[in-house]
Amino acid sequence: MNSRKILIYACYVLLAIWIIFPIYSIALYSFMPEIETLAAPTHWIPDNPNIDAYILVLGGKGKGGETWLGGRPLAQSEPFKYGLLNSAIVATATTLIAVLVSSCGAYAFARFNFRARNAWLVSLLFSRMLPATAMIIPYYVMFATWRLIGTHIGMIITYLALSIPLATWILIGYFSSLPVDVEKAARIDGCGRLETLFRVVIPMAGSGLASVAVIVWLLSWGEFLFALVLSAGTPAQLMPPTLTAFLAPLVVQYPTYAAAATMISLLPVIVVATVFQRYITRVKIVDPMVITVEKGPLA
Amino acid sequence: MTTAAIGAGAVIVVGGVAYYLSSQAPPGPSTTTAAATTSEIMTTGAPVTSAARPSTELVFSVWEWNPAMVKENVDVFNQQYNENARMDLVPGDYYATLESRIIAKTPVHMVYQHMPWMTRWYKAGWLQPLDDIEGINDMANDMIPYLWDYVQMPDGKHLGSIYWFGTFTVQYNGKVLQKAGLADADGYITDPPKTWDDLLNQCEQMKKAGIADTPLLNRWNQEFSWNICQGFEFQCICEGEELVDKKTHDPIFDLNTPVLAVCENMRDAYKRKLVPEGILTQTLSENEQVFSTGKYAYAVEVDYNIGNIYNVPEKSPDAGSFHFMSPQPGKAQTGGMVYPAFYALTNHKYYNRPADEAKRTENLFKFYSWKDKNGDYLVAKKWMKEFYLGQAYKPLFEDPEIVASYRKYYSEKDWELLKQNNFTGEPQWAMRGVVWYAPWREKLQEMLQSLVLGKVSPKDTVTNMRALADELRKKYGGAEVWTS
Amino acid sequence: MVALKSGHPESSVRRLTDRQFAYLLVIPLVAFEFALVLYPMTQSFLISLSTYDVSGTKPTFVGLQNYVDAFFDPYVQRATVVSMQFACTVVALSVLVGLGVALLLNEELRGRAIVRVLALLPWAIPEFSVGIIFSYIFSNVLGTLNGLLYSLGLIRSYTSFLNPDLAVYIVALAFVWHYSPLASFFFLGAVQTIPADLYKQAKIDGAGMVRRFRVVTLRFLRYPLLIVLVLATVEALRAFDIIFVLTYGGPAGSTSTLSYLIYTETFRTLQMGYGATISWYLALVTFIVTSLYFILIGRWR
Repeated sequence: MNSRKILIYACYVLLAIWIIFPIYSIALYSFMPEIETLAAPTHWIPDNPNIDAYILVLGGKGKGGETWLGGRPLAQSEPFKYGLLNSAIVATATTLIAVLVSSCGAYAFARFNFRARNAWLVSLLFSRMLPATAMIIPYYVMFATWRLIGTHIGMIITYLALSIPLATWILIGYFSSLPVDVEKAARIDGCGRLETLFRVVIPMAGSGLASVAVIVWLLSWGEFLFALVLSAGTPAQLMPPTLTAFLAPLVVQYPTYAAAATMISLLPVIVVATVFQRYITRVKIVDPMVITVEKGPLA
Repeated sequence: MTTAAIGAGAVIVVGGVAYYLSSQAPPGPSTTTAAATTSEIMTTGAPVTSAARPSTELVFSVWEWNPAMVKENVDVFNQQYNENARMDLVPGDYYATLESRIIAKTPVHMVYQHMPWMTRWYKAGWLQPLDDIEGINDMANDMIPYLWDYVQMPDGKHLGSIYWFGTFTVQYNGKVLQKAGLADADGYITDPPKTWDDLLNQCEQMKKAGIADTPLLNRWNQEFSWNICQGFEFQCICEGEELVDKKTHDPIFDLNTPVLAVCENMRDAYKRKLVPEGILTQTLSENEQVFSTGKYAYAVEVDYNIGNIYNVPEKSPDAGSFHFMSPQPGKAQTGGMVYPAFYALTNHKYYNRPADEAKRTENLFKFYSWKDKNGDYLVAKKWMKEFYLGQAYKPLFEDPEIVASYRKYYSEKDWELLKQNNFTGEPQWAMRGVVWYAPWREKLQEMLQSLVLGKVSPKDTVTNMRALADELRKKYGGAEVWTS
Repeated sequence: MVALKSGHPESSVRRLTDRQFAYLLVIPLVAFEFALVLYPMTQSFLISLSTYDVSGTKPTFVGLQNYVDAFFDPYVQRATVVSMQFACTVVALSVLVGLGVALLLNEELRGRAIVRVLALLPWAIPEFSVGIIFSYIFSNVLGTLNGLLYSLGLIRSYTSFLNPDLAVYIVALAFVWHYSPLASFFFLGAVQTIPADLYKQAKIDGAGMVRRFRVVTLRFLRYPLLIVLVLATVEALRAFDIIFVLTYGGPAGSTSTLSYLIYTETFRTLQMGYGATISWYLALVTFIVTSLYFILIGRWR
């Protein structure tokens, strides 16, 4: 079996390269001094690494050596900092509400039979099929009328709309894979249906809920188009458009700022991913359409 | 039920925080203006009894070109006028993003403009004519005359002031040309090519001699507004191709006008590998930067980059040897393509602005376009001195500080040439007031890329361009939209 | 466990039937979906029935004329081809890479936890950030891929990866980097449920590694495969951020997928009606493709 083990380890190394090379590429440019960025071939280890780009991106003043700044602070850094904060708030709020609403709904779909159940399941899936670019204008018009453009509430509502169908779909499969007997026992012991849900099912479904929470959080943190159209330039501006402000095609800026800003924006993502990676691997895939609900399971 | 209560409580708390935050002032110089007030108190030794800063903020939406400088200027404006103005940086696609915001009536007061979009925005009712602004005639008389004429639409209204203007020319790296024997000992070109074919032949010479692998850096980068369309427009001006009839706004180019020669030349340059292979996917920054590496002989560039990059020793190994060509190759033998960018105001009526807010907007406009509260050309001087963005006021071209700054990087000959180009040059009259030009230019980028790559022949490209122009002219109208 | 509830005041609470309870739980969900998904979708359809003027604000009702125009529009036709190129590449590679990584992660070797975190990372990074990261890799002026190939001696001068012939596949590759972890975790979940005895049995029967894979593993992958195909196709057809950041629709329109075309038509040309038309067209294409999946793989035994 030695050759097999060697093959496996070789594949591990390949996988590590596949993942790490892109991240190293951008990390590299974030630590390079400006002059070195144009060097060809690429300096794989910078000659004079420094964190000037990070200081500038976070609002510090230029030392005077930066081209195009003349000692001024980067104008994009303040919106960027607000963007990070706003995105964190909106993403967290969306996650809490989405998990709550979709777990209630998913429980109903998983355990109960009611008319239009199948029709609603299908519509949940199809709501994801329309591209984001299609929904933008109606959202824009709606939000302009209700004065929700550039508000945190508006963005939370938008992301709830994008994430609840997906979250529900996943949770239906998850709930239905949980053993019904525990719930039945709870009901026999006198728990109301709502109580069963909150006191019995949800603790059991911890890892499923956690994985859905991660999915929703990452979706709300990284969504670009709606953030650009509905929030850029407003008090509630989210991180994605403020980050692309560093890309600056019209300014002859060296690429260190965008690299540093991207690295900074990756920190929360890495934390979330690392903490929750064990939950995400436990997402069980069950086709919600196939689940049959026994007659009167929790009578 | 406790978990439900906790859940509901959490939702309420988060919702409350979100609501609170959304009612806060936007990020911006609110902190700096507060500090300025304090310092005012400190210096005068008396509490500032003047009115507090206005509560409605003025929004100045800018694109990505040195926003740090714009922000600094906004702070000065706020301090001088005791104002509440904010710079709003629009990332990436400036016009698309702003257009959707204006359609939704999100507050925007002052914007940047280029000519094709200015026409379109005015027709959509989004721009404010400037003719009623107090003092505007003084400003107009101060400006270089043809620039004020340029911003006048066919209905007589003036729409913008000059943020900066400069001239696109073919620039060359004297050191590289010297190696090919095309430049004299001082690095000036001895025999400027008379036509674009001559230019290509010179490039091929240099390529064969191994001096430069891809000697020509055409303006063919990929970007939202400054892209291959600009390179095309430049070559059209060089050949005297007008594209649009000034009176009727009909497209007047076809297979018999110089545009065909322009298209053939563009395809030729790529086919003979005289331009870098990846030029169509390079960003604007990349295109501008690589000319300084000494690997290229010619580039179609805007005049400010010589002082910003090419002749700057810290950024360019061949610093000191970059110059303008004059006249440009081509039938028209023109000095170059004058290209301005403007400040413009959004329409007061469209936004239902109260009169005092409109007045404040006008102050902001005059501060940037002309003079500050103390009567200095504050903003104009800064842009010109630090970043070589030409300004509309002739006295600035004689200001000793500014001249000294230019002469650091521009040779005497080039400096005179620059002044001549800017004072007597020709902007593109073809697109002024032409409503269909902006949507046409939109589709043009792709057509030109296909042309260059050889996917569509020059003849077919011209035919397609003309067909599209006719279609859009029919759809959006021509000169008659101004008179009806 | 669950405490006995003594004296539960059942009699004083009006008892809902199971069905009513279910409706109660589902109502917020449904109301939300109506307001924020179905209503905008209807609006979008209504918008698609008009053309707009140069300012994008004055609509003129034209009925289904937009749909007819889109059918004959060469830009739409070309965008369909590009979308197909993009989606096929993404789906094929996502399945392959996802499956490979899943099998790898299934192995019980040291370092597995760290590798799992790494494997999840590209998917956790937002799509537009992935676009930014890959623009540093594929740039033909300062790209690290060029640098790598040059340092390894494989190329003599920097080439342009984002040229019109390759661009759509390159962008698809970047998208696969971002998307395949999701596929691999679906596959991993399924692969982990395969009882080890089946492999033992197959080995005893003399099956080699490949044969074992075909006979044992594939059987359990049928449903995850369907899910991955559907999700990957839907996401690939919808993909916008990465194209916007990496190529702006690509040299000579070679990465202008339908999704990107919708953006161009809606926001740059300000023909919102036409943009909405194309988006319904895209939704139709997505629906057809996913239905095909269900039919084909649903019947595979």
